[in-house]
Amino acid sequence: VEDRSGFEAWYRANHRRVLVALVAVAGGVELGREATDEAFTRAFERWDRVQVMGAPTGWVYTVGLNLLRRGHERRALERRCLQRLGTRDDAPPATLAVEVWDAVCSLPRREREATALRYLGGLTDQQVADAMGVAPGTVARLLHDARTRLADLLDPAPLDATHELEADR
Amino acid sequence: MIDLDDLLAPLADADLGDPLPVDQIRSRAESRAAGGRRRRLAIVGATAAFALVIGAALVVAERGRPTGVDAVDSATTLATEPEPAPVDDLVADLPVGRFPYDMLVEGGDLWVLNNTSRDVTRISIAEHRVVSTIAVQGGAPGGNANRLVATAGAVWVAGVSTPDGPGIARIDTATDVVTVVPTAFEPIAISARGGELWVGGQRTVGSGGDERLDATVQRIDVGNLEADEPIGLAVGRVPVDVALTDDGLWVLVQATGPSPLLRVDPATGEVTDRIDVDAAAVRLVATDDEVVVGADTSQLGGRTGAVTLVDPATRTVVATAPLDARPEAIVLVDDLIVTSGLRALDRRTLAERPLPARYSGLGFAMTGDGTSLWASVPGSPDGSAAVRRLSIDDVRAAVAEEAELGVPAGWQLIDYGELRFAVPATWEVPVTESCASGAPGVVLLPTRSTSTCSAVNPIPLPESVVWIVESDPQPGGVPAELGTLDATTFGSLACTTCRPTYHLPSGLQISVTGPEADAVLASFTRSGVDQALADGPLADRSGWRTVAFGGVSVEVPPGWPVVDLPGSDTITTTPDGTVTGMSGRTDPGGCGGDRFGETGYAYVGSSQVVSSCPATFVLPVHPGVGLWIRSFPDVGHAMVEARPYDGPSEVDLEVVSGPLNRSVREPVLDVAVDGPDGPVLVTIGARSDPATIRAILASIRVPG
Repeated sequence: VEDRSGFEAWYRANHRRVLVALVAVAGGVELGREATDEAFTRAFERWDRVQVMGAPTGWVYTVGLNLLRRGHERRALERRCLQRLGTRDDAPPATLAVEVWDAVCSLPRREREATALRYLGGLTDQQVADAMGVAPGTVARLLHDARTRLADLLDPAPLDATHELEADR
Repeated sequence: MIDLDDLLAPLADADLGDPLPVDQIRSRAESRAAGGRRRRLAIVGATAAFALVIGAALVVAERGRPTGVDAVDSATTLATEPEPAPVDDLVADLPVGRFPYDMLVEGGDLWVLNNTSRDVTRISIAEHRVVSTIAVQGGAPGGNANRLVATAGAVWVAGVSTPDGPGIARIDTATDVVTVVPTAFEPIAISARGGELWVGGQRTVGSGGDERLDATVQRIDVGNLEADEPIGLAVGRVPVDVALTDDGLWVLVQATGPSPLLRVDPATGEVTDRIDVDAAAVRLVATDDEVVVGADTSQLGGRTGAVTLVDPATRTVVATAPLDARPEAIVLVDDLIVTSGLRALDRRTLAERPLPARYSGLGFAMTGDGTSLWASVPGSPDGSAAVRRLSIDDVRAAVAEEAELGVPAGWQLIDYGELRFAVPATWEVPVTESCASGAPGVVLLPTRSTSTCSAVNPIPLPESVVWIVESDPQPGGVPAELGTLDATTFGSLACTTCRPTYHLPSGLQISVTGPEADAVLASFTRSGVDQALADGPLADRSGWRTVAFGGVSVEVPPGWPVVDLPGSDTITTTPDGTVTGMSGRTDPGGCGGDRFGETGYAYVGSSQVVSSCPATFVLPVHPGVGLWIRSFPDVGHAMVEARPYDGPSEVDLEVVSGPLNRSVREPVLDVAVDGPDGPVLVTIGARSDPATIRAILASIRVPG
């Protein structure tokens, strides 16, 4: 681990938005922090290559998403069982309304990823598509579906009463 | 439509804590660069030694709180128990070691030849660290560094390229100094015995319009480094391997079809025998008693590779066995032949000896040193590669265990709650839970599937799925057999276009789809935990050791090393008490890893060490043999239910079920006992022998 000039400034400038987005994707603060820390550590290790990328932050998002996707499979069963017991394995951020948090967390994974990266990470549709490895049109569709689902959950009068919310988590 | 910017604004502003300091990021990165956990321990140790010498800077102290372990049996002396030998342990990263191609053990060191980076990584086996990286380029582009061999005081590399032509590189094991010895042709293969070294390659012979390529071998005297005249073998192909034995020089020549295995008289250079191996040869290993040839059969259809056993006395083929991995490396281990992949065969009959799926993919390059099997780990996309040390005893135990469990070759065994079943080793297990209709369950998907499940996901289910759903018991139905289990179905078993769902008395519902469905369904039986909780024999506890925690004692089989988790903790601090590091054993199962390994370990107490997660959170399924006793409040998950254990026991025990012991990754039996200092939990791996589990439960005591 040699010269890492420029890393710290970039890290401080981008950490917050990556963290917020990955916390939302993860559905938990600790999981999100874990993925964020790991993604930035990997960026640090490969800084000579990452810093010359067209979108270093996009690379970090991709790494973070991949980490969470792998961890998701293992944690999914634990989470569901804990929810059956009426307990939570990871509390929502203290300043966020529980119902909003629950609604975001209940989105299917890809919709949650697209929503988090677009609206919390501040990425463009194209950047979200690059980070997720999907086409921009898919991002648009995922965001539309996410808005519909959240409206179903959070609006007093659901747009589509027959639309049942089911999560892939 | 809802405004997501407004909706999510509170989250964007939420207090999520401070960023990880850059110093800590640097520290994590440096720790990894130093070569993994074991090397990190060495660094902490070196730092501690430095501190003791200069009396300043760092203070290393054993953790303050008392160990949670008591030895209630005088024969058990945990204080002097050495840390168990590493098993399946990643011992070194090879930072420039792209594409490890061959390796050997010489002089107490592991030597790894990295084909792409044209260097040799020297690893101290005793210290588990990279000692040096030795460039073996001969000063000119080219060269095909693909084989290693050792003689007294030297390790040789075939081949290198020099400005004057091809050659082999001699590494002095005392100094790491490299000397290049010219050869008459580009050396592809190399073998040594005593003071003789033989290289094999291909050269152009003839002249004018009669030029042709010829397989060639050449002897080199390792004493004076002088080469004899090359010997043409009159075969227009490349020798891929040579092996010198008392019986002669064996030369394996590559061909796209049947490959000739030649026996050459080293004294005269005469080809005395030719045996054709029915595939494209890739590897040769020979002793005085056997010749083993590895071949690539992918061009022939069917399985990927094959191993052929040749009797050097009669110079005939004894047996040929197919493999599902190309045998780039072959290691002879006692009564086993281990090939890349890892695949194990009986050394005498070539009968396949299945290994657990977690070994799959290892060992493009391999070697053994009597107690350990060293196997290369596939490189990551960034080019890094590694070698892994496997205990030969553990590999043999895994072979025996898989044979006892009747796991078919190329399949892996899964324990899930009360169930045990097998799926193809290529399947990724487990993948996800069900998302259908809110019912909890487990869906196991094959590798490379991107789908989860159906209701809200537009991607269809993959072709092959094991779907297990927990539900209330459903009365009625048509009796049906699910492997060895009695089940019922409510659909038609005669349905040829659909798969029935099997209902078990416990309420579990099981369906399997895909081409392997029949075989998967036939493999269903009771898990080790379920068998242990039923009536049955108890293992003989003669020679068992007693360990205790929290006023509760339990006996463990004599072969299970005891690991005192809190006692292994070491904290590194600055003089003002600031904690700068912690090392020691982590709790089994930490960071998403497996709880128990393939051989039994007894873990006592809980560790404070938090491991840094590996690059991937997902680790392979494991056999799950072992025991962990610790305080109930230390248990990191909630319990769903508890019921009395009605098997043989002198104390009241409760079988408790939680999310983790139903998980496929950590199939365990959790038993709680009231100790004098509070409840204690004994966790036992589901793949432990049921009689052993019952004996452990019968041994639990609350002294006093």
